[in-house]
Amino acid sequence: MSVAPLEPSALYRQCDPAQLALETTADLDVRDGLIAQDRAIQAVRFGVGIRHTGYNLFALGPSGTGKYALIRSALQERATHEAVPPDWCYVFNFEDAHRPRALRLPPGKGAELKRDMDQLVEDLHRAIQGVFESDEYRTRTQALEEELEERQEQAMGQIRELAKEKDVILLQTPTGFTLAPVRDGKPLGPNEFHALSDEDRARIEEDINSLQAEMRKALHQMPLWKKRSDERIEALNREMAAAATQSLIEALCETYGDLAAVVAYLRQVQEDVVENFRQFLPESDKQPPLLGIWIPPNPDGPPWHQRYRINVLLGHDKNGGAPVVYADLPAHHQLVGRIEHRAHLGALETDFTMIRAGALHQANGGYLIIDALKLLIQPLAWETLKRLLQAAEIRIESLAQITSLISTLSLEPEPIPLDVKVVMLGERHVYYLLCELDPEFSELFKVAVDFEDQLVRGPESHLVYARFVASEVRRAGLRHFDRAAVARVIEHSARLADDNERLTSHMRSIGDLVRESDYWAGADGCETVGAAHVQQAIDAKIARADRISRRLREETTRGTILIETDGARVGQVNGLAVMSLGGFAFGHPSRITARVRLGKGELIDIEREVKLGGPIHSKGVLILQGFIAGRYALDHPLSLSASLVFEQSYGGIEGDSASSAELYALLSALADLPIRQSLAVTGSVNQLGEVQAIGGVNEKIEGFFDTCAARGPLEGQGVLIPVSNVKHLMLRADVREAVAQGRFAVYPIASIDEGIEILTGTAAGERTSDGRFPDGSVNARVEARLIGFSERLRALHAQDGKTPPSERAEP
Amino acid sequence: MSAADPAGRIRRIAVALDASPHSLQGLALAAGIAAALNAELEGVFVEDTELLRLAGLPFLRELRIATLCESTLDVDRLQRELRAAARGVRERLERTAAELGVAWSFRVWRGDLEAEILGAALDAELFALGRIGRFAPLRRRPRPTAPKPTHDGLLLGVLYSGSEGSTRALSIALELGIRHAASLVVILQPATSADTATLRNRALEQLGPVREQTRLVSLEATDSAALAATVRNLGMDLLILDETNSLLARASLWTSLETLGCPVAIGR
Repeated sequence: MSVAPLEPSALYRQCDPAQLALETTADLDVRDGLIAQDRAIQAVRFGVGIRHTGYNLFALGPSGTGKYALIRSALQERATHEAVPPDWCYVFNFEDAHRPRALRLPPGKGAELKRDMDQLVEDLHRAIQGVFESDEYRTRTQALEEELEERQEQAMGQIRELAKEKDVILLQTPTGFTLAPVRDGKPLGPNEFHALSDEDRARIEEDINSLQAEMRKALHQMPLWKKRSDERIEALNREMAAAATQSLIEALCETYGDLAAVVAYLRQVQEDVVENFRQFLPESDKQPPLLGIWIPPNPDGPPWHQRYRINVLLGHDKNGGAPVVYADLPAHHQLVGRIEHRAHLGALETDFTMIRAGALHQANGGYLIIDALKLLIQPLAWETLKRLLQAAEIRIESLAQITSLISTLSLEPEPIPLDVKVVMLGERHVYYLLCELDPEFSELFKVAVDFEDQLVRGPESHLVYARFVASEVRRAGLRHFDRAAVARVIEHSARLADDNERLTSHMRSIGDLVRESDYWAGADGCETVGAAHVQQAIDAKIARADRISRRLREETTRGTILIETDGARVGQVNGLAVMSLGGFAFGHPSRITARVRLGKGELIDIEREVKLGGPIHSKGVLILQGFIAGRYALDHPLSLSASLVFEQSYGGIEGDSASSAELYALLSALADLPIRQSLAVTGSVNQLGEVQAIGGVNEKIEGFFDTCAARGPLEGQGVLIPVSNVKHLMLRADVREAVAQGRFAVYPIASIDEGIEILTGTAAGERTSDGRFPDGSVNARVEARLIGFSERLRALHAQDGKTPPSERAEP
Repeated sequence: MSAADPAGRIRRIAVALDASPHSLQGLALAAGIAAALNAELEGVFVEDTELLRLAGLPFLRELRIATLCESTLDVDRLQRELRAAARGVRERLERTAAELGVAWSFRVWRGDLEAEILGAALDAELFALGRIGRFAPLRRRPRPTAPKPTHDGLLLGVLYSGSEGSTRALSIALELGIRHAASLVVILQPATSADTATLRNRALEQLGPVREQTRLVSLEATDSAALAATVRNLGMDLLILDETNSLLARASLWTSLETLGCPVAIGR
């Protein structure tokens, strides 16, 4: 059953530069260099092609795999050939100023209408001022006023004439009129009046009373005449204003004749201008001083004229295609738009010209790309997006309005119909969490675009990678990569994928490597990036990040962390752990020890007891118990008490990759056979004793290699790995070299028996036809020990007069 | 009161005022002339004792125009109202004078309106007069002036009969016309139709260099109606009369002013 160590060729799968049909990346003519994600592209095509409610897309996959670039590229390509969405403008609502109206216009017409309306306001100023300063207007108003004056004058004149006939004179007082008796053209004073005869006095009094009654009647008519005259003047004003406005509005109506909504709006403008023509007269420009402070005029013109302006919320280039918008900050107000305010005399005020578009407006009629996590962390943004997608309209409301924090009067712009395809980008767990926790999510995002995080390695994917490198070079203006450098990038990609048959699709890391390689090539003064520069970039990146691994290694070398790399020990094995800190993963050996004694069949995992072991780790330990119980001393109660521990481990331990190591330590302790400390072990184990694949195999091997190398020349150290992990090997050059020289070995292990043989140098032994393991074998020693524990326990119970629990008769 | 200075320059222009819009129009006119002549502007307000006297007749009622209220005439109230009106007129005069940079003064006369006005007219070198006080026009607002297609400035008229007083009035009008950039119309009032040519020649001689720009009009009749028709037809803003003109007789003063329909300036 002897297992041979792996050949150096099995430790690394090289990329042959000769297979790459290029000298340098300059030979490749690429535009985007996107990694082929066929499934994802098919899903995108389906998602954007189906035009039904709820068929929005969620692109899921690890960050850095090029989701955004691929989605954007695919959408852009499609959007270019799609119809340009309409322009949207907000205009004043003449019926309800707090609810601005939305105007839909053909692409490009929004800005045109705005220019025309700005011009119209200027023209109206001139035209209305012109007609009201005209001779015609002045003459006609004066005629009307004159008519009133004459009528009043005539009425009072008649009184005066009547009075004159009766020797009474009509006189003006500071505030009105009075009648007085007169003699020889001079009013009679009290003395002269009383000197008259009683008869004359009585007659005069009667005359005056009668005249006063007439005058009273005349004066009471005057307000009515004035009112009628004012009405006629107002009608004249309207007539003049209408005349000034008519031709200007008609010209615009003709221009926008095919747009009924615009024509209707222009008619409303016309009516409003006529109604408020005084606002176009010079007096209306003058603002009264406030508390003696002169308020400068508004540079945008009189405030009143704002109502005739056009707020082009969204204007499009008529040749631009459908929009593709990425909402980099998908906060509520960034999505739905906002209503701005300006401070004016200590108060905040707003109007329809201060309505601003959000990302949904900008993407309306096209595509909106949103990062899911960014969206979810913004208060109420996700709820808002769902609500708007369900309602199929954009309603601009502030968070304060939605949450009723503020109830002051504000604007309620007319909602705009929403027709947008939303593409959310996010990690897989975000997608699955949304699916599970939010029932509406599945209704609204029916198309999952699942991005692969690995590519199958082969000539095609090598070429894809070469194209990607070339595109990065072009995009960032870097030095071109020679074929060896590209090959090295591909090999590193396989290492990042932890699989020599796969390449990573985490293109951000590859992009970083390309740029950093260019830096090192520049530092070397090279025109072209070579494989050495790529390696230098890889090494430098590790060197920048490996402070912790170096410290651990140093402390191991100095004997602070107890790890033996030679000799043999009973119940002690070198396990291998992987630590990942800040995106840098490294392996490090840990001493695992096992102690056994007579007991009640319990296997104590000290990590679990002190709650430093995670659930998967605990599961692995319990599997050991199943393996022991199912393999050895089947006719005897398991009378073992064993404890397992990761020595000098003070943090949590998770994963079952050490379960085989723990089992080896336990078997060594039971068999009382020493384990070679020059070997380290990784791999999980099942109840049948089969060794199973684990993650981070490369880091683990290199971690033990580095620990051994740090102590001096390698002398036959090695690592036992699951055979199923061989395809994942992409080991460093120095490890491969040591293996080639026979100074280091990697053993592919399929079962615990294979492993224990290598570790102890003793055959594991298979159960023979008589049901026993061969004498001297590891398994025979283990079984004998367990039977011994069982019999010893039975004897102890016999002394105490008790029956061992496992032998009691069942009721 | 001072007379005209030896050089013939008018140093003070008086204007009869009350609180009516008509009077304020006269104020603006007089202020403009004072500014043009660099003369002092004097406002004259008369507290009409005749009006106060009427308060002794208890059956008389005063009907107010704006509120349509009515009440008996009360001396104290009337006096207060007259004082308030005087104060308002004074403020308006001050403001108008300040705007034009004209020196000003204001006097309140108390007595019979006609007598006081004519007395004040005798005291000033040039006295601008419209219908004021109890004889103010029944119209609330001044009649709009007729369009003047040929010129934009004031149209001044002067009644010239060849008398010494009217010669003096013409010379005042001439100075006003030149200083005030106003158009001048000389209304010839010959004693007989035969005197018209002589009168015209004398007027032209007096007009001197501005004869070409001055229009001369002869009155067909000697009554005030003919003069009023001429004044109205030409759309005059101000008619300059000499103090001896029969139109300014006390008995017919207000009638004449009503007939003319424009303010007059009485020159001495």
